Amino acid sequence: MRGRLRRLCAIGATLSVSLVASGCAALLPPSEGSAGSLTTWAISGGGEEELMPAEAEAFEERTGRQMRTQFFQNDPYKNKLWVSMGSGNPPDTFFGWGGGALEAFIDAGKAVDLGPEMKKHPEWREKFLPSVMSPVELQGGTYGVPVGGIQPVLMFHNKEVFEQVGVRPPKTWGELIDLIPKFKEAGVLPISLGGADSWTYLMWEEAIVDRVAGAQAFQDVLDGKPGAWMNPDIIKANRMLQDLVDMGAFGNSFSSTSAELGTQRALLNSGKAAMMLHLGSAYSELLGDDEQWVREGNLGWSAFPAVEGGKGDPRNLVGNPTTFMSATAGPQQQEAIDFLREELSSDRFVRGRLERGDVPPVRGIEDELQQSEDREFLTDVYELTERAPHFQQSWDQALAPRPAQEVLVNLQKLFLKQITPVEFSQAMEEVSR
Amino acid sequence: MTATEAIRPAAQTPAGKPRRAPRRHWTEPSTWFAAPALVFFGAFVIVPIVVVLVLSMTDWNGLSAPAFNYGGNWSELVTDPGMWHSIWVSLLVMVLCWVMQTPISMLLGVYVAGQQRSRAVLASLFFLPLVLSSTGIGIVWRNLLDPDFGVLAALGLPGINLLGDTDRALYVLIFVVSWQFIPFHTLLYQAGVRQIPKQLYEAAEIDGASPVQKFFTITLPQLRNTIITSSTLMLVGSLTYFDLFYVLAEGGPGDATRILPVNMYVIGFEQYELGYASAVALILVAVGTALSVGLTKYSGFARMRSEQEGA
Repeated sequence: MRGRLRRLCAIGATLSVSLVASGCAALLPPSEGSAGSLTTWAISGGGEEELMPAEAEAFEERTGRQMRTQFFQNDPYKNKLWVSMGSGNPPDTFFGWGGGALEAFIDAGKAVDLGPEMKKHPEWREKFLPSVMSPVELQGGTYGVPVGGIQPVLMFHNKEVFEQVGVRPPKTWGELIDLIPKFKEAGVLPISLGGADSWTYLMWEEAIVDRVAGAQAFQDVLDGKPGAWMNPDIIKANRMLQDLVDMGAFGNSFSSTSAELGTQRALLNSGKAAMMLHLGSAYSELLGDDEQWVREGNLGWSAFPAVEGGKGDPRNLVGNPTTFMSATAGPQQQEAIDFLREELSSDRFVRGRLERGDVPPVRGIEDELQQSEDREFLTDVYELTERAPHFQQSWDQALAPRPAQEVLVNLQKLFLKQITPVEFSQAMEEVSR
Repeated sequence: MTATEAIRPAAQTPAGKPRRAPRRHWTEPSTWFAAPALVFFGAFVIVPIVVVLVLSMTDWNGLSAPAFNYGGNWSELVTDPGMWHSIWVSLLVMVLCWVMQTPISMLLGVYVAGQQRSRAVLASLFFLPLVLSSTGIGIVWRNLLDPDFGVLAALGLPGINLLGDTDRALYVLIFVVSWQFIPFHTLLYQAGVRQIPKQLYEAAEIDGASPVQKFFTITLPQLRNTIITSSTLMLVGSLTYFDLFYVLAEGGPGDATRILPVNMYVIGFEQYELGYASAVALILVAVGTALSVGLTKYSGFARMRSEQEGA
């Protein structure tokens, strides 16, 4: 018996040692992907999945090397990419949103600066609208090229409801405040807010902080300046948000309303609510919900209202400037960069995006936009972006993962009045330290 | 003759004869039989725990190499108010889930243990939530509870904010968890009740006991082991609730429903602080193990004492 046990222990020990060893091996940088073929990762369900396979084929024809494209769902993708970067077996080019996550990859030496290559090919860089590039302009380099559509946060409204109540869309914060009691009297929820998904609060926060405190206020946060969150203008902006909550602008049950499950939009196009602040993607989502309603001209949109006496330029935008593709550092990085430059920045790719109804942040596409069925919306988005002196990327993507997470939690508490604007700033200041 | 009997011939020793020590190869299967299980246990339990233990002493964002900070994560754990809040919420969930589920599933179990056909039909209806996936249940309930388009709104009570209210969300979640798991525990109790010998009830009836008296003096004491099993599963299980909490509320609003597993996920896979998340994971392992060991030890469950004479 004892002998048997000893043998068993020996086998167990051998096994665990080998497992630990293989586990450690997984932590070490393994050999880079097999030479010859390259891999591209992007998310599924969007233009990437439709258009990239054709670009991969074009790459294969041009270079004679294989380009494998793989598509993943949005949320799991973020984790998968992060883990692949950590395990040392990343794709050669990858989809992303820029900002904090990309910066973590840069810090770990995983992403390649496209700057030198762009200097060699100045026309490459010239293609893109400058205001959308800030999420990938990090640490003095350029770490990605735009591949997605422009997604500014806009104030959508139900034109029918506005006509019934006899009011006009607000251009300033004062006008917005004046509208709240009028809609409430008419039995309409003034603003639909999908607070069950915490990132919907973030759109309000980004927009109003930009208008009240100016673009520099959040830049200070990003730069890690001590006391940046304690900026009195940020506190003032948050007080204005809480006032809006107190006025009942969002109703009483906004924290149960979901943007992801579509109830936030349903309130708007059913006429139960008058306004909704959302990313430009709401346009195509509303089209999907009820195409006729949009086509009949019931949907209106405008930029976020200007704030009287605020430091921010009312032409500034917030939201998702666009999405990007970046290249991974490694023996095949030159081929990866070429793929970004030759294929993913090609006119053919841009045309594909336009045909899908996206607004690519590319210069000189006004004529193409005019031919779309959705020309009104697409042209507005394009012109707003072209004119914008600053396009602030969504904070949850701009910040490092930890503060990004904390800002969402604390915004929920702010909107639910569990904390005061000062406490919000203190909590965020604490996290940033 | 079942397999259990085959390896336990000792039980068949005729009464009266002195018990002989049975021959070994009959009573005990070779220790090698345990080897596959041990290998898997080692590979998927022991090794990961050791790795997590090492990781809990590092700063690791998953990208760069882990850097040792020794007790750094552990001291953060003690000073992090979010962690204490999360432990408190987890405790609340554990206790309230038990309080809510145990009486209901026991009564339901006793009810469906009856032989009537109508009860069998009802029982199969009760068990429906058991076969649904947690994520599915979460999405369904999230829609049902929607203040504008949900069930209450359809019944003429719009604007009732359940999941979005910091004070109510936790209770709503406990309700949904109970809805999902009561069928399982009902099943346990049903089986437990059906094993109670009829003679006990017959004797009680002769003595003129009322149904309520029978429940408290026969059913309840006879269900002792079932109660312990079910409670252990509930209490330890409540440490692993994640899917429902995440799908329904993502730990929110704010951090109102952020139980330990959700907190661990957020720290590990949204904030990418894998070292700190490992420390949280170890706490979960420790509490879970302590709970199940404690419950089985102090409840006498480990001795597997039967409640029936002569069995």
